[in-house]
Amino acid sequence: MRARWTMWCWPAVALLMGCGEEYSPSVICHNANCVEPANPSDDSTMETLEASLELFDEERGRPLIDGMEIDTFWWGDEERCLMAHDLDQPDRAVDAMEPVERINAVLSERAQAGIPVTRQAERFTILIELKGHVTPSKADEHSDEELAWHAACAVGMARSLIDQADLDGYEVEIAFMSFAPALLQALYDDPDFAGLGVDHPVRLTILQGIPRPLDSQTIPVDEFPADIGIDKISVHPHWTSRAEIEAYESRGLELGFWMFNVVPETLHQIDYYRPAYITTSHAPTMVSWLERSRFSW
Amino acid sequence: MKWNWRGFWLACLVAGVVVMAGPGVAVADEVAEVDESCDCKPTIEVGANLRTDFGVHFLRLDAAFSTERFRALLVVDPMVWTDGQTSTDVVGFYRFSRWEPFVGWRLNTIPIVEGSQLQHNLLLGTALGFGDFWEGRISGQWGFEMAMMLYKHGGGVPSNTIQFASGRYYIDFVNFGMFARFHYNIGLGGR
Repeated sequence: MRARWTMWCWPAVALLMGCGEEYSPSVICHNANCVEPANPSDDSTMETLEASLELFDEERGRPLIDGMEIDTFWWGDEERCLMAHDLDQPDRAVDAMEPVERINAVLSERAQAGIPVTRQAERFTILIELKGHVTPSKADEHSDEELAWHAACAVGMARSLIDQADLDGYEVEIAFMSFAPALLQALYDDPDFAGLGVDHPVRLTILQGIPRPLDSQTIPVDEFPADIGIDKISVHPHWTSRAEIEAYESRGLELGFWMFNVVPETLHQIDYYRPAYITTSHAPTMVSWLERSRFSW
Repeated sequence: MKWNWRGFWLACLVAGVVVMAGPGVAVADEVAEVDESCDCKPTIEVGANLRTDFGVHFLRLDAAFSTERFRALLVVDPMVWTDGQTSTDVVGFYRFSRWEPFVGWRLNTIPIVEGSQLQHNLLLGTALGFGDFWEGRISGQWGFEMAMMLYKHGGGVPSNTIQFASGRYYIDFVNFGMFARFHYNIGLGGR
């Protein structure tokens, strides 16, 4: 008798709990540093990039992540395009093409071995962030020339990632992102930008973080150009109001969340808004939380 | 328009505050006068703990042991069935008239594939009594709280401790919220 009750009850409970609706966002490695416990001082370095690329789910035979965020920094004094979160540790910064070459090598090797290149066995997403300042101070913005150079550097990175994907037959998605409207405009104006998105999605993304005056980087969405095809926005879930998110949805922007850590506040927002991608510094915990429903019932 | 339980509870919370605060202030004044000569027997409080922030479920149940100057509160989470997450608080209050600064500890358990991750939080804040109603049988309390995640471990993932080298280390770990308690008082003896 009890067995019969259980047989009918659990499917009904599962239905009520909404277990039939699977949510599976792309998990992106924040600042190329998502091996736990992530140390923010190591953000955007080759060591953490390589360690993050090696995150692998042995049981399922797949990587643990769906993509990688690369911070690019235009160092004005040296006229160099770097992978760096800032200029606090210039000795650890490398030229921006170095992480691209490493990503190409790892994805190429996996594709040739018949291993999926992402956790979801879909296209690998590369977020290329263009930092909005050119010295250690956030107040030092790009000159017009520097805007064009920085944009050309980012477009060159994307070209290399796309060419390697074409060569080895896997899919990539490139999402350029910035806190600075002028940098997204500069990307759009770059002569090689339009040719990137022929066979692989290439997108422009608004970055929003901790609001002013707490952080001078965040600029209101209205100040971003409306006619250059921006179709994504990445926000911090703790610092974004419901009204703002609904406004982004009204504008047709695809939603992403970025975060440093995993706490209940973050998870609640993910559960409620179900962003298309999650940029996290704690990929194993995030994936384990996202996949808990597969094992719950 | 998405249905939003949190919004519903927020509306209930605001309505409760409005309904109770008006008469509550007057009653509280009367109670304050009584306090000077009361025998201030200890009280057991049992009630609901409602909130609008995202750190814990919007409805939890609490029980407290209260004396003239101190209140010890335990909050438990019956809504674990919704998502497998729980939050348990142990909080101590000290009374300065109607203001009650508090310090406490919150244990969050977050379900992940390999079990649960445990997150230990420091709670700091202050609460304000709405006053007593129905001859002191029902009381209300509003509070403002900071929850700081200090240490997390378990669930088969590496542990992590809060650090303060830069904002990137702790900004996600420090969160603020407000709560309202509505509780039934047992063993009334003057408050």
